[in-house]
Amino acid sequence: MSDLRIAVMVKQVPDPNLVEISEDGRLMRENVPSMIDPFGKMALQHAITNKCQHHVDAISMGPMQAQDVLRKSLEFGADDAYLISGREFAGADTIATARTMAAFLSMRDYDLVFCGMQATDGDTAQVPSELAVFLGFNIYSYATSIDLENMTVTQSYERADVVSKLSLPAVITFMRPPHGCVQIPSMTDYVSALKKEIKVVGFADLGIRMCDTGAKGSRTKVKSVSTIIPKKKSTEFIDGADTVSAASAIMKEVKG
Amino acid sequence: MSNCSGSCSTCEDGNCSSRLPPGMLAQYDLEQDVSDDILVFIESDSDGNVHPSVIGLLGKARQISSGRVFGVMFAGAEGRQQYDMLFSYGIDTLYHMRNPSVKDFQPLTFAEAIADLSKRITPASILISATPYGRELAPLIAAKLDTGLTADCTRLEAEGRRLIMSRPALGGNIEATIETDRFPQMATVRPGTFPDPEPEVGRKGTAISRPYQIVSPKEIISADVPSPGTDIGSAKILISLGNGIRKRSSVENAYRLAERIGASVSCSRALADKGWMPRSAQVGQSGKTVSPDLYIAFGISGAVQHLAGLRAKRIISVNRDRNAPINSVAYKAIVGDADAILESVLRQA
Ligand SMILES: Cc1cc2nc3c(=O)[nH]c(=O)nc-3n(C[C@H](O)[C@H](O)[C@H](O)COP(=O)(O)OP(=O)(O)OC[C@H]3O[C@@H](n4cnc5c(N)ncnc54)[C@H](O)[C@@H]3O)c2cc1C
Repeated sequence: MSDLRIAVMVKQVPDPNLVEISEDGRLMRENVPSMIDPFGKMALQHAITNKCQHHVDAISMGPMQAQDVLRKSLEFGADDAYLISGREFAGADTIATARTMAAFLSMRDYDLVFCGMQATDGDTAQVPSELAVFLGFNIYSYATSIDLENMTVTQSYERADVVSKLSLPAVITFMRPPHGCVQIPSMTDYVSALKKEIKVVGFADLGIRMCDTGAKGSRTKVKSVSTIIPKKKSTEFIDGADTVSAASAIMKEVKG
Repeated sequence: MSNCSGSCSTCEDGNCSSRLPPGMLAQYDLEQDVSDDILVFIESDSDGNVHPSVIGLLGKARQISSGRVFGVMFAGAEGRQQYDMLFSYGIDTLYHMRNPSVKDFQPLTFAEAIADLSKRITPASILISATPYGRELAPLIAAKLDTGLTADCTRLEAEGRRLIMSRPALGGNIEATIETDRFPQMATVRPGTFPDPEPEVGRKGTAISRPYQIVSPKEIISADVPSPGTDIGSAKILISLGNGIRKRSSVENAYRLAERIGASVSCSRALADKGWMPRSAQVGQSGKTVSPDLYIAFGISGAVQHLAGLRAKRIISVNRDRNAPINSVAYKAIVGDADAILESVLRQA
């Protein structure tokens, strides 16, 4: 198939190696360097490797700083970039996020919506399925590869790798980068990306109700947050043992 | 009926439901009587074999339910063989969903059928295992019912019919406690989080056969089912290999050892990336969640993404580096060479 319109949802997440937790268990997001969510990046790589005659938009929902990940997406080769941003959207849980994104996507006639299988900050993997319901699209989660010529998709489920016919329109979530992918933006991509504008979409542009987005549109409420004090596991170290006695220590456990 | 609190600016007319977004069904009426019951999704394969994670989930449902425990299972006639087992673990009423033309996991179809069932039986909560199927299915149902869903709960408590859900966030550094202000409240739970209860042999329940409609069928071309012994999700003992393995022959040794001791072989992403092990054997955030009794890690550093998929009762680590992160969660940490020790274990087995 040619001339498909593909939307790739990318999220800005704090760099997990640099997040700090305050004494009272709050997440200190303020000064943490952020990055493009690795799974969203994989989705983008799948879109770009399959780009040829297709149109690829990168879309993010978040604060104005999230323009950084869209700039990166343009450098990677996305055609256009949109940031859904506004204080009305703050505090959205997965349902409110999906409903807000769906309001934007449904105005723009996409055939395919690519997402990461989950985002590394929330880890819920819920937004894509919810998005599929609100858009009335099919859903293919945990994709490892797609073939847009023969219209097939391979998904990695627990017991089987399942190959299905890809029926449009669809939401697809990716769990790994395309095979053999070492996509580095070229100098021309980089230069043309600089010239592109990131369009910012606000609450008024979406035609949704206040009670469908942000904290008001959320169906879950975080009641409390506590720091997990790691349980001190008393590890028994076997150091300096010879190979055979180390192996016997393992066999002892196996035999239980 | 409007669900907007007075502060909503765009629908003071109180007529929200006439403008529901596409694909969204009218939601649960909060005024209606919700039961105290809990509905559990009984994941099974096409032969009607129940996913092992369901048992622990049933135990939890039984423990926190102040009403009945319902189950919903999609299976052919073979599913009947599971009735007694499911009743013995606490199901009172099992909805056995039947449609002879469905052989595979059909996410949109199952979600629609469960949403319909839920409107009919009005459970207070719906619990689903966070397997790949479950994680795809649960948010479809939540969106159809316009209700809250909390992923990967590690604790579930109840105050009457109210469900209090806790889950780790941010690499396990914090725990968030979450509630939903709608019914049904929904949660997914990672396999192996709750212990299997003791079965109550001879316990009776009711099974109800229900037909369901197919919506947006997924057309499956092929499914590679792994050969026995490679199913790492249900293994009791796992021999797991990481980048610290330097000899390719160690992979072969691991499989031979597995055969002798009744284990399966898994790996870290680093080793799957190298092509030494199949992707299907990868443990972790972008791999599988495993919950063996014993996890023997050879040359695995224990990155957060790897540990995200690990729910082992006991971990033994073999690592050259005494300070490898995996050692802080291990019960025994052997400091030494992975290839040599693995070879020696094989000789002793
Ligand atoms: C988005 C994302 C998702 C990811 N998902 C996963 C996932 O699902 N699963 C996963 O595993 N990883 C995942 N990773 C990768 C993860 O961050 C680590 O890179 C990976 O787990 C490392 O694998 P490893 O421990 O085998 O290798 P390494 O980190 O290279 O560690 C090798 C270990 O072996 C030890 N060693 C070296 N030589 C020897 C020897 N001769 N004898 C004994 N020990 C030795 C070393 O001390 C070290 O501890 C993910 C990363 C990202 C960014």
